[in-house]
Amino acid sequence: MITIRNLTKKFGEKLAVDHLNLEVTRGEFFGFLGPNGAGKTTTIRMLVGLSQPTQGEMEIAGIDLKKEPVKAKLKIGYVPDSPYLYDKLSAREFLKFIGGLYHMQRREIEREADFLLDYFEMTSWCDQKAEGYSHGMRQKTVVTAALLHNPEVIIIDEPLTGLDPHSGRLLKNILKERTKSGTTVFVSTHILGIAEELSDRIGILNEGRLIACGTVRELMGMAVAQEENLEGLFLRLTRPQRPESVLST
Amino acid sequence: MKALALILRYKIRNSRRGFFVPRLENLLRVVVNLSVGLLLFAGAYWFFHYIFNYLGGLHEIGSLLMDKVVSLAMLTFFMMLILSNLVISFSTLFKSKETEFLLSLPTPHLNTFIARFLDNSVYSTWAFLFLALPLLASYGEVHQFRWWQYLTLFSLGLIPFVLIPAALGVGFSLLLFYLRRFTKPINIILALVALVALAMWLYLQANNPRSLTLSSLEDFRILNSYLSNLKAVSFSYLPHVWFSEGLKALTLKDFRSVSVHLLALATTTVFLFRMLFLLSEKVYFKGWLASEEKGTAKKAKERVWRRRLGSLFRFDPLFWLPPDTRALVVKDMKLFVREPSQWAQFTILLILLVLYLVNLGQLPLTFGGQQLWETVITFANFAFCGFILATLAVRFVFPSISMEGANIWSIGSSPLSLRRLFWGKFGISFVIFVVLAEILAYCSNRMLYLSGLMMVLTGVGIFLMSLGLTSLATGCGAIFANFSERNPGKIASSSGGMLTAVLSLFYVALMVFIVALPVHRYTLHLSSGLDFSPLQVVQALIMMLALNLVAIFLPLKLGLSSLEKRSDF
Repeated sequence: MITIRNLTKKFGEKLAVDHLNLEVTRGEFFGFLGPNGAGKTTTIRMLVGLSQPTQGEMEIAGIDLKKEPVKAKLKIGYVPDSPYLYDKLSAREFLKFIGGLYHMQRREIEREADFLLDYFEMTSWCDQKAEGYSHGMRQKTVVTAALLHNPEVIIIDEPLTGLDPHSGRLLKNILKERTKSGTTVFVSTHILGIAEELSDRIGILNEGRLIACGTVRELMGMAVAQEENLEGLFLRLTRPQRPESVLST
Repeated sequence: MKALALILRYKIRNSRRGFFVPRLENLLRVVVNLSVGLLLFAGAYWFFHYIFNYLGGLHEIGSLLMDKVVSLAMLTFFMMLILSNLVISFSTLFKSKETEFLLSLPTPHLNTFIARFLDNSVYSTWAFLFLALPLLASYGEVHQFRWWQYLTLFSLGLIPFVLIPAALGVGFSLLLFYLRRFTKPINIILALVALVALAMWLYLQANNPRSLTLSSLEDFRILNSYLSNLKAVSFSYLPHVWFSEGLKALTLKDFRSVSVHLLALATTTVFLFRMLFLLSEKVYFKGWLASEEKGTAKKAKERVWRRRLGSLFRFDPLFWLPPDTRALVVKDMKLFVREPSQWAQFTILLILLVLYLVNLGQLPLTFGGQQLWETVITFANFAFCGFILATLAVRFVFPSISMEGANIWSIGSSPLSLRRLFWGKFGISFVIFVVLAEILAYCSNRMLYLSGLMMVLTGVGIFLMSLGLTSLATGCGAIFANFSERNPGKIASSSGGMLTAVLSLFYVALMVFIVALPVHRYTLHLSSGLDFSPLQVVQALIMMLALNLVAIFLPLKLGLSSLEKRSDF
């Protein structure tokens, strides 16, 4: 469903993504892990057409993102790390707007919007203007908008930003539910717990390179000691290379 | 097309709700904004009507002068519109969360471009309309226009006249961000500034201001020939000339000339829009990507080299400031230098000032002992300096507190009090302002060969004006602070900014009037023996003192108290 071949992104001299190869299949929940500045957001921005690769190819549901960006975007539901909402529109109006852009019929928009707003417990707020929303409510609105058109691929950059534990649980449940009906979920996160709990496979990105990729069980096979957990493995794999003199002090 | 219509529909709904909100405080804001707008409109209408009425009364040269005033005003508007469209597009078409959001949607990039281009045109143009509409309405009133003449003027004249600079400004911006992929923005902006300077210089050379000699003004026949000469050298391929000629033809009901000039405007608009859309299809998204990927990592070696070089020059020129104020000054300076939309406009304004000074130096002004002319020219220059200072204050000082933006919490929660922030902003602005203003006044006075007394008089006047205008802009900037807007251009053209502009211009006009009147009477006393009492100087001094006390202390007091009462950080 998501195919990434030899993806490279350079910012001047800096190599942000280094020859990334990845295949995420239909109905798979893929956790994309990595320390700050590893290249996760850059990869995601390329996947949703907000950045262009220096080299390499990407396909979403078999559609070449470079050749047919609009067609590919129709297949995606995207939640950025810092989402944008029109402050003077309500959540319901925002959903109608997004639904229209994804070529949905009015009845279909209303039905899906009602279901998702109710699911995320936004019903009492959804007709008020977004300027009065809390950070969590804004995040729920954007997540709802991303799920509205039943996309084949859901791409989320930091899904739990601003969400309380209850809302976080609702989001995790619906994402897992969607994978069962064939939707591919690609989630970039710092929170190892989400990746460990939900992901069918996890990829660890460090300095632009995919240094590990596999199921949780496969990754745990890379552990050096029996007591090493995913966190210990992650920290060991992504530990910055420092000069000896610094380490010794 | 369907997607674009949908985007525009929801954007209009979003904007409409920003204006019409049923809550009482918002209603009051709308009423205040509307009142300010109407006052500004009425004031401008009265001013232009007075001027046109006066000119209309001058036989032979009156109508020529009137047309020249309109032509010059339209040229100024045209240049300002290109500049504001260019600068505002940095933050509407490029560095904007909304643009990023629209580009992530499954719709062609051209739709995003058109939606944001329309936003940009509205933001850049609405303030211009507050000056252009009363100017044209009063011109029409003096020439007893009928409804169809107004309709033709506004629909076929003014709309294309506004759209042409919008297309040009945004076109420049598209190229600027596209070229950013290959070179640093500073190189492109410097090249652009050099181009603007060259174009202005060539234009002024073509209009040949040297042909003005003051002795000629005494003879109306020579003046007539001078004005005809000016007409001949006007560059007839510019939209402001088509507009002015079209307007003149509309007055004379010369329909052939009206059609020719309005058609020139319309076809140019269509041509430029076609070019703009073609250009946007080719370069807009690439330019947007370049603006997003500006975080080009500098080579580590270069950083180390810079640090070492920096450590060699440890002298801190701001050592005399308290540490918190110093931190604020350093932060503001760095942000100003790193924000192209700020310094690009500042640089272009400075270039225009230098051009003004250079052309002043080329005028063969010899007063030949005619003190009356010396007074007139001195105060015309004094008024011009005041006008420039008022523009700079509204554009750069007024937004300074709002520019703390969403990060105001970092100051609100720090040991730096809001009072100190306010005075810090005021102090920095005033020092920069007064230095710039005095240099401008000194250079222009030198080029006008003014006597020592006039130099001192205008020097003191400019010092007071700098203080008054900085106080007005800082005070009003605090009263109308908007921490959610990031674009300084938009903050300056908000209703608070417009009110500050009106107050500033009113203050400059009063200052010029108060200082010029006794000097004018004194020169008349010297030249024609008219009665003059030293009491008039004392009266002027008292009036100037009172005006400045109000202009300096009232906005500062109100601004400070408004900032300290704010709770929306």
